[in-house]
Amino acid sequence: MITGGLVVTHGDFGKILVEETIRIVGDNTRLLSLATSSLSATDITEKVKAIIKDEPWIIFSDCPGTAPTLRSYAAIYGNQTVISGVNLAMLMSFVFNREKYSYNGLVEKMILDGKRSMEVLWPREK
Amino acid sequence: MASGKIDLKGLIIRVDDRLIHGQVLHGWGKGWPADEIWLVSDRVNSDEFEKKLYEDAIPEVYKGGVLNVQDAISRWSPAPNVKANTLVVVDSCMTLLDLINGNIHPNEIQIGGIRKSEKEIIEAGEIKKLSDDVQLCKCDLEILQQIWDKELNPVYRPLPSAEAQLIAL
Repeated sequence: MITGGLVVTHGDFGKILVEETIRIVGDNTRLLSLATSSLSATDITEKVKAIIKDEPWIIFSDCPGTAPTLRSYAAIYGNQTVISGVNLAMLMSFVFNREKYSYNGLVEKMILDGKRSMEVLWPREK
Repeated sequence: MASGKIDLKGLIIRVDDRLIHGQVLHGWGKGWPADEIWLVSDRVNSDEFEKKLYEDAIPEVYKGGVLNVQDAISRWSPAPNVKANTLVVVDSCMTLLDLINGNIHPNEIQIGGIRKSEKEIIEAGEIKKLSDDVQLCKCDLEILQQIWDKELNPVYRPLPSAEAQLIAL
């Protein structure tokens, strides 16, 4: 079964990331988002569990130490992982690589690509 | 941009069913600023995984952890003069009432987050909505009434930079 990706974030941030990933790479197989707005801690975990069941999923959250990360972590077992600090490069790496790598290899590859995408472009000298 | 500084010291009890989360750690932890952050929940305290999850979530810079109601009452009652800025997050209005009945007298009682699922909204029939994050059903209001009867005034204040709004029936 192809590894699924669930983006769990504050507000519609994850929904937009997923929409833009699909728009760029065109693959919408098992790539979903969940906004935690108006959900209690327990409800977030229950909604995540209902989606991922006991299948291989990677959950992407926006910020460590916050409800999307903590409550997703409470939902996972087995071949399921939470990666915080999601960005567009990380999601594109997920879609491009999920059929090429093992589950653990995919996790490592995406984290590398997500970190690599952070760069500073200083202005040119006049 | 609001400075986030408020003239409030001592013990705050905040009802927030999202428990320890971004608004608590980043908003109140840094914006108030808090010296101690505690979570009081019999449910979380009795679940080894959940307890560790929240103990780990509280940064080491704060004194804090997870307590059950009885231990919280022993710690903060009878109303000691709490000098450290202490934010106590509780999981429900019922836990708040238990602490108040245990003779804890905070400097502020906040309703920070009481969220209802679609099923709970249907079952409740009528909901008093203060914001997307605070939806009070009849049972919440009945508990809050008992707190008002003790001449305590819970407020809605999501962040330190927000004005405290008194909650009225």
